Amino acid sequence: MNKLRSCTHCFFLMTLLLSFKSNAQLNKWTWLVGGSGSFSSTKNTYTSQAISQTSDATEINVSANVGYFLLDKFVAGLKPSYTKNKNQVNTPGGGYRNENRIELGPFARYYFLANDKPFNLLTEASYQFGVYSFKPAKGNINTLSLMAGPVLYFNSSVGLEFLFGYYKRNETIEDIDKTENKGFRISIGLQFHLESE
Amino acid sequence: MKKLILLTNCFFLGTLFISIESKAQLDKGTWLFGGSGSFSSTKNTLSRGNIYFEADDVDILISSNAGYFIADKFSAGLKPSYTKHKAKIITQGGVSFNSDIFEIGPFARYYFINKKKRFNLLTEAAYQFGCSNLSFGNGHNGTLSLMAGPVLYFNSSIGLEFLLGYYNRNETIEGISESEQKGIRMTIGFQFHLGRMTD
Repeated sequence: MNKLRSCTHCFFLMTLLLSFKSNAQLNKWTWLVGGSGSFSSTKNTYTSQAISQTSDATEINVSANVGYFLLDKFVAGLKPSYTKNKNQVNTPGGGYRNENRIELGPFARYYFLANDKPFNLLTEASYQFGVYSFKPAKGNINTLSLMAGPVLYFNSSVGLEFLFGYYKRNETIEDIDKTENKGFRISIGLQFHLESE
Repeated sequence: MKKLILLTNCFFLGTLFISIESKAQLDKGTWLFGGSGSFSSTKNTLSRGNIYFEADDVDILISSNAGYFIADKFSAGLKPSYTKHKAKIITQGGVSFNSDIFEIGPFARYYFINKKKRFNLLTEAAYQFGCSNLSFGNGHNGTLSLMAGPVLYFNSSIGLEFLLGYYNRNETIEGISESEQKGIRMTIGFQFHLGRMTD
């Protein structure tokens, strides 16, 4: 299993390196856009010696970022995101939740290397403020992240990023609970560079 | 807020279409690779009335696929994945939990449209068998997925896919529980096409 995984990763990395041919648009007045999304709607069953239950679940995750290069190699913009987590347990006395989280906030990033390279190094700071709702409960969310890492360009418009950094998230649901998550994370994602007319 | 999200999505799609420049390598003898990964190591706290929890969590998710075009527009291969979740509650008696889940299985996919196009439509069937090692027992799982959707090419090597389809996952923890998830899911991901060196 380990040998197969190692082999797969070698092929994956080799393909990555062979694919990078172009430098990116990091000039003033260029747009930077990225995002990801997933959706699932499932019927779930769970059986153990103690309980047997069925449930219906819907999950939606959408996040995006839109930025603008105010200077060469320096971009600033906004990060909106939306998460829905709905779950109905169908057995008698089963629970129900329908949690919605909407977040929005600024980000800024700086690219360290010249823009004629097929790769670059960047650092990014971002902060998102959000609201939580599961009627009648409501709350607020604050997320800070400081990330840095390399980006590899497929062509002048598309870059694949590997970012590592610190992350802190606080969520307060009024009169119910407070949670805090803080630590390190790695994220892998695509970003698109779009030159202005 | 809805307007802002709509505007953001419009930018995202607009950028995608402007970026699509080339057709992909769908010829017999081409390799197809994809993958994703995430890692986090966090300290988490929860306060609820007089209750207070503090825990350290580590989450790792790695999934990949490696395939080969056995015929023009038809590829087959393997999908391995690994998921780890480790949690240690520091307060409340210091309970720890650890799970490691390995999965691997075959997939096959077919592209419907002429390979000279900058976009295509594909369908994919996959099955993964897995084993899980949990703090409180061992188990096994099986996942079937039947997906279809468009792929858009940035150049001859890179494609961004939007797949929608059916998904069924069964998991058994020996002597403890059985669970099943089935329904519709959508995934967004990219794939790399690597031609033969002799080409």
